[in-house]
Amino acid sequence: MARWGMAIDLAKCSACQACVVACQSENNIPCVPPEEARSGRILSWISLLPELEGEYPRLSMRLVPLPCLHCDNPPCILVCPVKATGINAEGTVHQIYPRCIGCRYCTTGCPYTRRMFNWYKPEFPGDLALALNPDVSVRPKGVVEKCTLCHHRLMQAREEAKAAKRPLAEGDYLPACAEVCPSGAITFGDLDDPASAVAQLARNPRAFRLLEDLGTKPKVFHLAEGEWSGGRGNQT
Amino acid sequence: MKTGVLILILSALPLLGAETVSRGAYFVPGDPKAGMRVFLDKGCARCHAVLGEGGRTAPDLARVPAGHLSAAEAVAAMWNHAPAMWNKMRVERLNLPRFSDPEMTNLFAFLYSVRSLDEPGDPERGRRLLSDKKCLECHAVSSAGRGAGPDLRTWTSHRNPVSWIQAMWNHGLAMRSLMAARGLSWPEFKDNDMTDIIAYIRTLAGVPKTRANPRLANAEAGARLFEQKGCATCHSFRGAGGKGGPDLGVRPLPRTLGQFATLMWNHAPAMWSSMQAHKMAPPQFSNQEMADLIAHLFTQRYFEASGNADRGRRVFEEKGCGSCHSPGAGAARGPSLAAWRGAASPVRLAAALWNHGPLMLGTMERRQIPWPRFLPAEVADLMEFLGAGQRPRQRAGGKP
Amino acid sequence: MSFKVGRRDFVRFAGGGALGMAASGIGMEAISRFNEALAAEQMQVPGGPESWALGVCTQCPAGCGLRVRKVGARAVKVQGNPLHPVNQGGLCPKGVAELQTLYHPDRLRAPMRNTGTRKSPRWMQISWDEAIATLTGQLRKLRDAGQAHTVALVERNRHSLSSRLMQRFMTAYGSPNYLVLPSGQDALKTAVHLQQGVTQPVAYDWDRAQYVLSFGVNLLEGWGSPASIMRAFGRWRDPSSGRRTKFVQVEPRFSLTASRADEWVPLRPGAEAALALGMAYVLITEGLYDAAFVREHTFGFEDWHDDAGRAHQGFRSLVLSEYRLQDVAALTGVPEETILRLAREFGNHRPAVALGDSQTSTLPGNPYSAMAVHSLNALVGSIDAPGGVLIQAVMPASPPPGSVTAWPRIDQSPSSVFPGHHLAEAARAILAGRPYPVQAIILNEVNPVFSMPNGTAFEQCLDQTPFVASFAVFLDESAMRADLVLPAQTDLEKWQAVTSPPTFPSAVQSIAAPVVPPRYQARQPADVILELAHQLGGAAAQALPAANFEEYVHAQAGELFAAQSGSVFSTSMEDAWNRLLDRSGWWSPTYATADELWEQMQKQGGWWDPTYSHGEWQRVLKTPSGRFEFYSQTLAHWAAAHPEFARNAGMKPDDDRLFLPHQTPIADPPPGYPLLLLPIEVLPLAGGEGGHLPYLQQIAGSHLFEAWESWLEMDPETAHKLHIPDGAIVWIESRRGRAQVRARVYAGVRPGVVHLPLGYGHTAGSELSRGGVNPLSLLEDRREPVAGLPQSAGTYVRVYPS
Repeated sequence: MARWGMAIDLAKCSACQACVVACQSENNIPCVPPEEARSGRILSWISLLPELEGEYPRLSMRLVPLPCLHCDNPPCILVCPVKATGINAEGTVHQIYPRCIGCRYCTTGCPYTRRMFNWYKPEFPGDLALALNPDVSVRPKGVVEKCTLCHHRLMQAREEAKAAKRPLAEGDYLPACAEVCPSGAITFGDLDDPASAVAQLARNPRAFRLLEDLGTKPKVFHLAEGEWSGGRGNQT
Repeated sequence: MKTGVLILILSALPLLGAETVSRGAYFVPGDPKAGMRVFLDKGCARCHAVLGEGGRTAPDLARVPAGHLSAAEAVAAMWNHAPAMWNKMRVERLNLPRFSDPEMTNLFAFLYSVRSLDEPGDPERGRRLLSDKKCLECHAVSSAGRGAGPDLRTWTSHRNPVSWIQAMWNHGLAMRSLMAARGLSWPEFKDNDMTDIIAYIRTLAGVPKTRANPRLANAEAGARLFEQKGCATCHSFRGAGGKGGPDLGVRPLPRTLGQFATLMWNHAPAMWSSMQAHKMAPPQFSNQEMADLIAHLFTQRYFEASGNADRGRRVFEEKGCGSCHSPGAGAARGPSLAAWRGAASPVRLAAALWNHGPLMLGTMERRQIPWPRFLPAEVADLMEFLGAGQRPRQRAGGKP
Repeated sequence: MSFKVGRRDFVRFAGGGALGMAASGIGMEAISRFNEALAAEQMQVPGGPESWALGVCTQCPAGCGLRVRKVGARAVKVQGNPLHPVNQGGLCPKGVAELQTLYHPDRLRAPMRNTGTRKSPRWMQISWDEAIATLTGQLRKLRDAGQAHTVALVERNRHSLSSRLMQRFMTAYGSPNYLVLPSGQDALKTAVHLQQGVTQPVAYDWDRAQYVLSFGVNLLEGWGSPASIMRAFGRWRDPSSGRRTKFVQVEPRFSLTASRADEWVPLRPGAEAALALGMAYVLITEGLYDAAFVREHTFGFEDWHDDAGRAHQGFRSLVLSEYRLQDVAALTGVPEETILRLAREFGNHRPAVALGDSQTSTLPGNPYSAMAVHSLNALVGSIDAPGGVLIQAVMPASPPPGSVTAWPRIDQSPSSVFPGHHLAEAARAILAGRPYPVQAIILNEVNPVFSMPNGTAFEQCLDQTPFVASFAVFLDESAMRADLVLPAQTDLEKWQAVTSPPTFPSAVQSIAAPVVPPRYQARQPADVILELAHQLGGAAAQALPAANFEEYVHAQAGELFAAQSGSVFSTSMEDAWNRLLDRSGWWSPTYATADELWEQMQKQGGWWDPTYSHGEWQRVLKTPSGRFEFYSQTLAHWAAAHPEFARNAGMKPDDDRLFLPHQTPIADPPPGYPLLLLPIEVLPLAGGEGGHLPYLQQIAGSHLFEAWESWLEMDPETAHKLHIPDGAIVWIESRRGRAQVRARVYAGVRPGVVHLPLGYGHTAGSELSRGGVNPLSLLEDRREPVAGLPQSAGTYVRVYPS
């Protein structure tokens, strides 16, 4: 059984946000109008978390790509009253939309705030609905949604491998964000396969997990920048 | 005579068992592009460079050694230095890779092809050569030059030394008489002289609109050309063929195609005199024809001459293979080599070296058996012996 | 190592709170049915079998290769083509958003004629036949009256065969007025033209550079070929290469590019040349420059005498006398120790490249600054060296038809100085009616009224031109001033043929067939022009015999085959192999005929020639001296014939500094306008385009959690002084006008400067793009003296609460 995880190299990330848009395109995430955007209700399963420190001219900024971290010990699933969310055998934290009653306890339970609630009916103005991906359900108003590690791609990859009578190989299954990243910052794969790239990166000395002390055991590792980092001005 | 050469060419092929030259591909069996992938994926590039690209801690496999290596010579070299290499890899904590037969075939195709490539030359050396070899006496390279011969700058669309030699060859007879009239001796080139000259000329000329690079290696066409152009009349291959010129199967070859073309040029006057004596017209070549012809020769030289099974048996015994690889070896028995019958080749030996060698080395070290070293001819003989499927003489275990 | 991030930081993602549903007393099944009922309201979209098709994105000139997933006839996902050498499977967010353009609700659907006036248009839908008849009629009338030269065609430099076709059409038709919009690289182009004598674009060998020093170039936010540069950026940081390429960003603002750089050097705006020359001072005095290269391949480094015996100052003596560290530090605001260290790093980490300058991908900088920066490349021997600054290979192409007109191009740009087009000058000329009045303007998917720095001037040009036609996807600001509006197909609906992208060294030809059938009645502009050419007959029809754009592109494949070099896009392994072969003078193509090449190009995405031959001095140094000219003789010759040049530059005509890189004076703020306005470019709206795309609007201001609206960036000190709290609506006023905008306090802003992002402030076009402020509407019309390029830097504003 695989244990799907991700490693995001903050040194390589160019903060272009292609991952954000690719995820939205792949997963039928609706766009929200400007007023809703002002309330902070933009739906994006992966976003960049900006962290600016310092004063001009000594500044540093980190822009951390943050998908659902698919914790091995996820606090969000413990609080759902209807078991609309849980963790499957491969470690992916899933969401069952028809079961969700929209109480949003899970959005509070997630310490990384990676769960989003559909406050409004999703709109796809004009013919934009023609771009919808048939493999992913469109969520109705009133349910919580979050990153699924493009689980539908895993299902398709498994079927294709089965039809070709070969095992699932590394690289057959990639979420949209990992696939589109132009600088190659996102690595994805089976953490339990010691030879996989992601397993090796997870063991890298630069690797860390956000809010490690909470004991959530995320399966998304970030790799801190190296020696020269953060755009610090005026080194002398 | 011609038939003899053909038979020889065809008879070289079974040495590889079921492998055949793929259509429109390169010199030898296998896919060099796939071989490059093998070179990278197995980690060879971490230490070894190829034409300057790759690791620096081990020899550049395209440039070292300086001369031509047949498949048997390559595997002999690989075998002989394997223990040192594996030790170094262990120190660096590198996994020892394993190879399938197709992977090793492709790797050999890659290394063989890439070794035959010339590299861009040194313009400074080229400038000195042009004057030293007296080319400038007739050929202009600037608007101020003399003009008995063509302005060399018109040739910059040809970047390949083989193309240059072909052009020089075609007009060589005319050149020879003009030079004789001026009291100039025939220029002879060595090693990378041609690439240096080309590099220098290119710095002088504007950029050509097209590149006239010949296609690499249609050895089948080359084989036909060897007949049609009359080369087979004088040149033999491993004893079979004409006696008028050097045996192309035996004489040491230079490493690259351009260097070989240079050799052809150097011997041209002698050849032309000989041909005139026999009332033969000297052949002319197109750019692609010269390339194909040389490719053909390199293809033939990939394969070592057929070995001798009896000598091979002696090799098997003298090197001590039989102490483990025979039915009588008892408890220390190594894998049976019966599977090699009908399918023994240097490539297969190379794959076995990597797949089985480290374990073998460990066993031998424990039993204090020295690692055998091979000469290329011994490899050829050994392959013939194993391929014939002859059983080794029984030995009652222990050391040879 | 982990940084201090607390739970509170994540909470910023959470929305404001409205109470949700109470869940008591409702059974599970009922809930599911309730949700399914909601879901049933969702739209039904057609299904179908899955298929994949290749495409090319042309939202910017990079022309990244796309791989589009289709379900039946619908395109449902855009991904990168892994075989394409430019983007290698990756994409920037704009490429991914391509589908929203294809299926956009606000697209033009049919040709339309304006039956009202230019200022108050009334649009009537017409047929294509009628539209083409109108267009043909206009062009034929003008040609027959000997007025073919009074027609102008304006588009963006798309690096595509479509552009080539348009250019050839214009030439064959008899007009010199094929004009393109200004590019952010225009100053660099001018510098390279003056110092190296070449008009081919520059390229950079990103993969082998060890040190990249950028003077204000927004490397990660839209400059050049974004996906390609990001791929290189990822490699610079890849530990498996064993070394890290250091990337230093020099600019006043702490931009996203600056934050991702290894080091950010804050610099006074406009002082780029001084910093570059200060670094040159160190390189020269400490002997860190490549003396052999300077000696053998440069001119004007030392003082020299001309043929008449007059003495001229050289680069070295200029730098040593006027750019001492103390002075440079005072002028630039960069400490001496930093200049010293940067110069030493630049000189020691070879190969090193210096880029600059430019403000954004569409707004050029100052040629003297670009010359100063490029001089650094010459000093360390990076000109045409591996890892350095290269000159892009020429695409194999059939020779262009000769010009059939003696009339000069309307912009009369000094082509001996600046090798590009000067749309700003063209606007001026059109308004003045000199050297001749323009009687027809065709706009091809371009919106100069919005994207030119002096857009109102261009608006006036359109208004006073008797006939204007516009190919457009939306009824934008420029199309609104047209007589005829023609709906254009988007990237996935048409044949695409994009050639060598900016900053990419190799010749590339990306090809894609239409991915989906065209929507509405949109047509490919190139097809329409071809039809126009055939109907006009004469030279135009002869020059363009292709029946449609597909045929035209197919014919170009014949040119590529005839070049007998290069290869079809393939895996990186194949590319490496092809490069090895080519380097040794061999060619091993996968195709034997032009038709096979054409088939393979469509299957793999295109053709390219990966080999670059370094050190072909005859190709890359074509100045009068045949060397890199620190002292530009080209400029000197031109100045001798144009005395107004020295006057405009504010220097005496015999001042050698006119022809050497130098720091131009930085103007002080005029009274009452204390803050410098510098427009900024963010990647989602790179090129000032993309405002119609919701995906991009949502991510445009992520560092400040801004979306959908303009924001004015201000530093905390100034905001405090002006009593402007973060988020307040303010007025920003320049001497050209004023606008209201939300002010945001951002610590990355240099005190005394404010920033507005480009791409906002549409007054026409898609509904989704409206709102905000177009910074270009506030900029004054400033030109620099060398090539007359419009300068976006130098406008001062005042800001006050509203």
